[in-house]
Amino acid sequence: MQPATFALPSRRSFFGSRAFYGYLFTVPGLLVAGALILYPLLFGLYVSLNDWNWASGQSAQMTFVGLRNYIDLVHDELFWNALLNTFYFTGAALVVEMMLGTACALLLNSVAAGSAFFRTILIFPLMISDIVAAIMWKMLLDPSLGFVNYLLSLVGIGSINWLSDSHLVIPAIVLIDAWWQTGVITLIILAGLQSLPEEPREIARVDGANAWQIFVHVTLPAITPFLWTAAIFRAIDLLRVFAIVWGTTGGGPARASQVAQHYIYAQGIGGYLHIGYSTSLAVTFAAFICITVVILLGLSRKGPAE
Amino acid sequence: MRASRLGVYASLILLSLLFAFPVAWLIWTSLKLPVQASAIPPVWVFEPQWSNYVDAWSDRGFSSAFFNTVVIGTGTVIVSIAFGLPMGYSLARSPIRGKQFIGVSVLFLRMLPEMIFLIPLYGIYRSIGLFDTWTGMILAFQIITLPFAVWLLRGFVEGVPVDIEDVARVDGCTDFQVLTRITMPLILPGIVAAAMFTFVSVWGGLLFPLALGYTRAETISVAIANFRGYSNFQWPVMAAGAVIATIPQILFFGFIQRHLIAGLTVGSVKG
Repeated sequence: MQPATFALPSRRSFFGSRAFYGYLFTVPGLLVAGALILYPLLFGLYVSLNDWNWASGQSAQMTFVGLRNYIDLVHDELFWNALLNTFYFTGAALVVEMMLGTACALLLNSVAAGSAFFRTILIFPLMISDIVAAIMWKMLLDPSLGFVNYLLSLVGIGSINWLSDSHLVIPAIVLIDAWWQTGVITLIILAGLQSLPEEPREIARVDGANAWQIFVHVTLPAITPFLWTAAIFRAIDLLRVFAIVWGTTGGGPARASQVAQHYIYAQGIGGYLHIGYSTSLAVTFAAFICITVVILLGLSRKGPAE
Repeated sequence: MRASRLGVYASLILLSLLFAFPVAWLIWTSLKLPVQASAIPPVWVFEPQWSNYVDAWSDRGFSSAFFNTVVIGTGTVIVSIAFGLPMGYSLARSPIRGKQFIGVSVLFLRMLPEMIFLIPLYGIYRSIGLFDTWTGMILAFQIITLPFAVWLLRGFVEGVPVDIEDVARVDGCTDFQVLTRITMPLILPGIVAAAMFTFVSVWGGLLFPLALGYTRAETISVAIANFRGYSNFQWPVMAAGAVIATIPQILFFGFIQRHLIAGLTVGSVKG
């Protein structure tokens, strides 16, 4: 077999050469990506160093203020409240979804008949958009007319203000998100389980291990990389949560469920039009996400080495 | 052994009920009369009110939002595939080892909160007249969909044996002809999958149209979001609108089920 490049004409002009096509294929896309991704990003970093306030009517007026926005946000209690809510929500949802998703995947992997049918149902909520899930659960969790409280009343539990109790609101949204996105984790873990060889589990079974021992000592270590993949991707999306919260509670009651992207939106284009300041909030929040992901990646690398 | 098998199926049935019931409830609600929809205890037997769907469709801005989303979604797919396919191809075939870098940047982009793009873009769009336009929305969505398409298509191109392409090159095909005549037909299912993923992310996307659109470029998700403030008397119409908005998504997801994991973990660098 000859190497691929052997048969290519070597003394042609640049046009029509492989290098030419290499550029033809990549440069337009890079230009689009540069204009639409890199430019807004760099422009945003610059904007975050400016006072740019659309509300005061001086829309084109940008005043360079250095790091003042960043100094201001350190004292912005509402921003830290939103960050805290975001991390609380993310941590709680991650734990619930990882456990539920792993359980679903193990169950699906252990049945032969009907596996495809149950799999389709268990991942079905993934096909629904976040805002549809939000307004649907807003109806279901209605304190006096919602179906969930009706079910609870059948077993003698009184009406619960799921979305208007400041202590319950984030746990309630965690449950909504678990309903909506656990399928992601189920799918990734199921793929992991299906890629495992049967022998180690078979040997453990012959040696007299029970189902729980096999899971903890054989299956769990083998699917750990899949668990990390699922957790990291889910964490990234959970931290950027917006519609599920905004659509159900609008951040209430009294900002008890206001998350970072919502606060940034409200400060910026969704309300006050403090473009410069809200961009500095977005940059800071991005840094928080990156640090979280780097920590998770570090932990995931450390795991298997033990 | 038999008992544990029974337990597994019992658990699966219970979980299926938990996951499926809210959707079934939404569909029921969409067919009820307003009084029935919020009745406690719930009304289980009722005459389906199909007119709720007509009401939802003719609700303020709903049908035009639906139409906008089809146009913006199609435009976004065309731009993402037209630019993403050659890039994905180059990435899969080029000898340079930039793949790790591209993978990391795709993941990095996913980590950034949408707001970091949307607030500066709002400023830019307001200044250059792209605010609340189809074009502006199609271009903005590329921030999510283009890296996604590049990454997904790269994976599909890598599945095509390079030998097939080399034979065509020996026969005198240029790289462009190799791509259009040899590789593209072979990865057509992959292109369709990438197109559908792109379309679905436009269809379900809320923040981009919320930030950069108003009426002319309002999409279906924003129309659904506008239901938020409706009272319980309008539940059936809300539910009908939600069902209408979800049907296209389910159709598309049906086609891409096989590629769902690849799509969910875009940016993960394997091996």
